[in-house]
Amino acid sequence: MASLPPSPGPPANYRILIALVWLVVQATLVITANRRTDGAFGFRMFNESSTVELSLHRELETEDGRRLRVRVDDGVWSARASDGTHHRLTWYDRVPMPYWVFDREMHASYGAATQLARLQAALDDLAAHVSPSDDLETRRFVLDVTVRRNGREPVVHHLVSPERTGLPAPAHAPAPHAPQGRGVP
Amino acid sequence: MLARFRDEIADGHVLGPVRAAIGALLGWHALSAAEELAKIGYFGDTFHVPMIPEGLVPSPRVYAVVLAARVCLAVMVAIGVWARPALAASAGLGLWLLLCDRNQFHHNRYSLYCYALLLSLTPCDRSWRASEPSVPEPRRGAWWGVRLAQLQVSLVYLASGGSKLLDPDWRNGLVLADRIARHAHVAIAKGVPHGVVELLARPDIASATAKLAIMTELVLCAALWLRPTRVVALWWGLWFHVLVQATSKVETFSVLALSLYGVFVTPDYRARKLRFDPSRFWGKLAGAVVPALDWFARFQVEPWEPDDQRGHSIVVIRRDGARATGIRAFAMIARCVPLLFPLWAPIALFASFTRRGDLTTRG
Repeated sequence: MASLPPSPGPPANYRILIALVWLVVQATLVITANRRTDGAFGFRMFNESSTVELSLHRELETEDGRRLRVRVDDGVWSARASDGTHHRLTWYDRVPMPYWVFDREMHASYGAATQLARLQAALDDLAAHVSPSDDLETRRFVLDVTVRRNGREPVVHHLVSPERTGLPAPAHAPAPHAPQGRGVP
Repeated sequence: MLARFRDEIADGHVLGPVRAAIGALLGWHALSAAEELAKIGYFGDTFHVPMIPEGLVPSPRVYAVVLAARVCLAVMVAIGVWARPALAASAGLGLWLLLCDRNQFHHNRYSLYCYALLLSLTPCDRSWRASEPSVPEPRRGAWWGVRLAQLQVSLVYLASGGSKLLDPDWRNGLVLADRIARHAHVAIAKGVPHGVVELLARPDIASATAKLAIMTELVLCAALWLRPTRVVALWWGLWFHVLVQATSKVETFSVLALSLYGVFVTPDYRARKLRFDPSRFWGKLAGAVVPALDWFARFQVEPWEPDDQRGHSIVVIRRDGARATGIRAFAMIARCVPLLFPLWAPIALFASFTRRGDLTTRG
């Protein structure tokens, strides 16, 4: 006999209650996984074979008020700081290395939609945390994400950070400094 | 049925290896997080996406203490010292940290903490422990937590297989074909013949493989519960997870899934007998190897007095009293010894062609 019949003693009905609560919670999390971009708690393993390729840009403003996109190679750029010197800044100061690299096709972990949502959050975080005292030039960050969903033709998504605050008015700003990248009008 | 679920009592010895494996996995994840802390720094100082209010995210100092505690708790789980409270505490701390940063969420980590919590409700602390208590305690205990863990295993297969079934890209093989095509160079570099990789990437073959993978997950979720199909399901699932582990970056997902197969082992302590002839090489070998590798305590292993009669090196007496010798005995050993279990199906198939062989899954 593998297991024994019920043991003597008072019935432990709390076990049934705990089991029911556990199963209802788990089933609810699985059924509602679609509502979360990353499908968290839904046990959807290997849901896609999509890839993403990232290209980061800074958006600067010239004296005549035009916007200029400057490509940021390898996530590193140099900008004029409030003390008049140029500071070297990097995406990886805010977003640690294991998550993303630039200009290289990467597996879109947990799917393309998850990566787009996380990248938008990372871009917003970057814009919020690069201090004006380190970078007086960048108005906002732009991320071009080339998504290839399950081997299909690539589609480029343009993610844009909010405008940075605390920067001087562009009309009084000198010409932007962009030694690390190629200017794209 | 509810009363049986509530009151069922069974021998907890089979849960010892499961608990030890879960302890090792908890330790591995805790040490990995500690390594990241040392190399990259505290996650809260950089970009992170908490699922709980920011105020509940630990400070750097508290985070370091929590990691140290997780390592200690994992060791306690693995060696069986206050194992059940340590399992519950590990699960709680692990889930808390998962909720602190969505970027660090992975299904295998979440599954691990769920299983740790469920295992803490079982008599998993009655075997495989570093120290024996001064007062012997019964090996038997309430089995409802084990049933809940079994349900969780099935739920994971159902959710994973079901979501793939509902996804046309998965169902039609697009996901698998692209995955194979993109990793073809890696497979070829590892020695997989070019022709095999090309064949697997063909749309019709990828579509068939995708359907097989979906069917495997959906069938496993039910077949693990039925006694006639359980051993076959365990064997098929084992190779399924070995293949997944070999071809994908899945952290500890496959190891976790295989460890949890232990909760489906029938809790019958040494219900089979293995008699060996210590005067023969194969008998002596079985007498030494089987007790060492019999982690779930399936066999009562004893030598018999050698005599001058022609006989067998080993005889396995099954649960139903039937005797097996030769290749049939080896099939029984492979069925019950975890390290030999990958070989069970081909050996059992071969044994079925012998005079007294059968292809049933009787154990």
